[in-house]
Amino acid sequence: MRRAALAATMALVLAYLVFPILIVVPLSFSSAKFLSFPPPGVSTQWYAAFFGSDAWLSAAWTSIWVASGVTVLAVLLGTPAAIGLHRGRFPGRGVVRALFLSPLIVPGIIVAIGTYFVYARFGLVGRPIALVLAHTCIAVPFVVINVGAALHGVDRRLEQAAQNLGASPFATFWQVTLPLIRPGIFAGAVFAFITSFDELLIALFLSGSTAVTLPRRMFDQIRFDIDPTIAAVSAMLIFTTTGLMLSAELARRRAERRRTRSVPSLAS
Amino acid sequence: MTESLSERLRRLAAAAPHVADFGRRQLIRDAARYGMAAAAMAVLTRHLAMPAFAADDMPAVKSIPDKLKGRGAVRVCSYGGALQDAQRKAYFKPFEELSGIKVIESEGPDPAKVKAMVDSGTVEFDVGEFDRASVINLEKKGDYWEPIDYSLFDTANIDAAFRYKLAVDMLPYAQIYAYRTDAFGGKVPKNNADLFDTKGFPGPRAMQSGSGGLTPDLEIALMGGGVPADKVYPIDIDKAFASLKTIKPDVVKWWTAGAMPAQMLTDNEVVLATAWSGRIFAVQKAGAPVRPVWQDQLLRTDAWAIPKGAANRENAQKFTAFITMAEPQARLSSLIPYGFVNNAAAELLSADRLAILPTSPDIKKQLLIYDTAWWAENTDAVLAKWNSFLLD
Repeated sequence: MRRAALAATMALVLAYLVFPILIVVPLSFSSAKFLSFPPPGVSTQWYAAFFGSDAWLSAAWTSIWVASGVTVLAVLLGTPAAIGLHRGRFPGRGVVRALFLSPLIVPGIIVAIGTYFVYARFGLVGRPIALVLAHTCIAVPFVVINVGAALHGVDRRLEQAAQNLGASPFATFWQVTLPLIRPGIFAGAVFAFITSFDELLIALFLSGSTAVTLPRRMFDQIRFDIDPTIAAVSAMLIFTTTGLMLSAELARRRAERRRTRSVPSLAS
Repeated sequence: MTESLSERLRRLAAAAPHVADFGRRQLIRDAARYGMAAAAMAVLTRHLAMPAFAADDMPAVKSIPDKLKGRGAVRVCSYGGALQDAQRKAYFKPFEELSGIKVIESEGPDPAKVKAMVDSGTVEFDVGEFDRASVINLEKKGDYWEPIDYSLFDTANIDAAFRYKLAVDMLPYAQIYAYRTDAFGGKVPKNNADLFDTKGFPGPRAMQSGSGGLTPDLEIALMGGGVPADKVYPIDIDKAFASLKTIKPDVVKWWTAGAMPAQMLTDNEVVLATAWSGRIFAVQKAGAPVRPVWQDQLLRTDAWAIPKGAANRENAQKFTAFITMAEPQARLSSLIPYGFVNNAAAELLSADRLAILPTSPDIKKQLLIYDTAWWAENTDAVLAKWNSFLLD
């Protein structure tokens, strides 16, 4: 009886959390010309409108390749940073760690305004490279956190054993450490991609009219066009993001399994 | 298709407004008939696209003067929604094809943003749609606009009244209010007093905001409070805000984008809303039970202006010259019922279409002409009072 009550409460809470997101999906298949609920009929016209529109496709493409660039850059910067923070012993380590994580804590609008003023001086506003650079700043903390967490689970003795057997520090990293933290890097990369793909505040300032990303275009369209194409784009974004998060979760689980499996004889 | 699109529109316009009965079955059937046929035709003939841009009811643009051709791009900023969709078909696509200059679109032209952009040296668009009062207002604060190069224009056909040194008028439109036909049990609002009559015409309203580059409906407020139309200008700002205050409890939304009042009327979130006339026409065409009121409303004209230091200003001049030519002006008027400033465009439009434009004699005689000079002087004062009005 209590289990049934618990299950019912859980279902209600989940529904409350998830319903506002899922409601977009039936809206996107609406046959009406304006946003209206309940939709009068079923039609894929808004998906057709998205795929038939140069502006929407160009915004989606800009978002995808900016996010890809950010992922690569964030992983390249964040992984060594995480290793340094985790393994290094130097004065001010706590401060450096806090600085690395500060983009997560500072309100996004402040970051956006600040980057706008600096980038405007260099004439970078309206260019995709500006978005890649700015988004990397806010994506690196995610990589640092995920890789840091993965590093915690790596047994130092494995590396010591490798070095004992003659491997150089770089070879140790490449052949021992990296495979063990790979799921953490992958999770960090996924977070970096999603952070950049979904990011609106910085894009509002830096996009101009020539580097428009998908969230920026959605924001403009909600103000000026209010048609169900937005619902279709939202539904597609929900499925993409959910897919990415699921793959990150699966990678994390694989990392767990690997860690508990990898050193059976050394565990004492 | 047994009747052409224009005949069907005419028949619908003449019919009683039971557009709710138009219903989804009819809509789907029409969509099937026109949509499938049109879509099939479009797909099959895409590779045969000819440089002359012609479609049902739209005059074709066969050629443009060589001085308007160029390379590169021009970034255009307009108001989105039904207006920008119409501008895309009427102006942007033909211009791209004929001149070789790519058009990059954005929405939300705000004079305050132009000031910030020019001051910071990062101009994000090359030409935008404003009203002349905003242009003059910003001109007083410094060097913010590029002078228009009229040597590229069809000046023989554009009256001097429309040509300003820093902006060119090109879109006469009406600022009206619209109502839901199913809201008042058959009663029909006729003038601004009815808009402000919350007992005779109860229900939520939406009116224009003073934010986002727009200005509040002060003329309507004065006339709604009893001032006769010929005594509206110069506007007594305090009296107008006092009148707006009487209706403030019933205003659920101060709209900041053209699509908003149309959407809210369609959704039945409001029963009365001030709006730009073409947006109301667009929702009527889509089947919403909405109708405009013309009596004592405003005739305004939008202008295009080029922010100072815009990267593609030569292309912007060519673009602005193109859209004031006769054929593009007529194309826009045939897609959305806004007026034109090029006299030669009248010959390219049918008599029926001319009759529903805000510049047609029957409609124009009911409208009050927006006083650009007064607003150029007083916009700042009004916007300052607007913010305290909202907080009250």
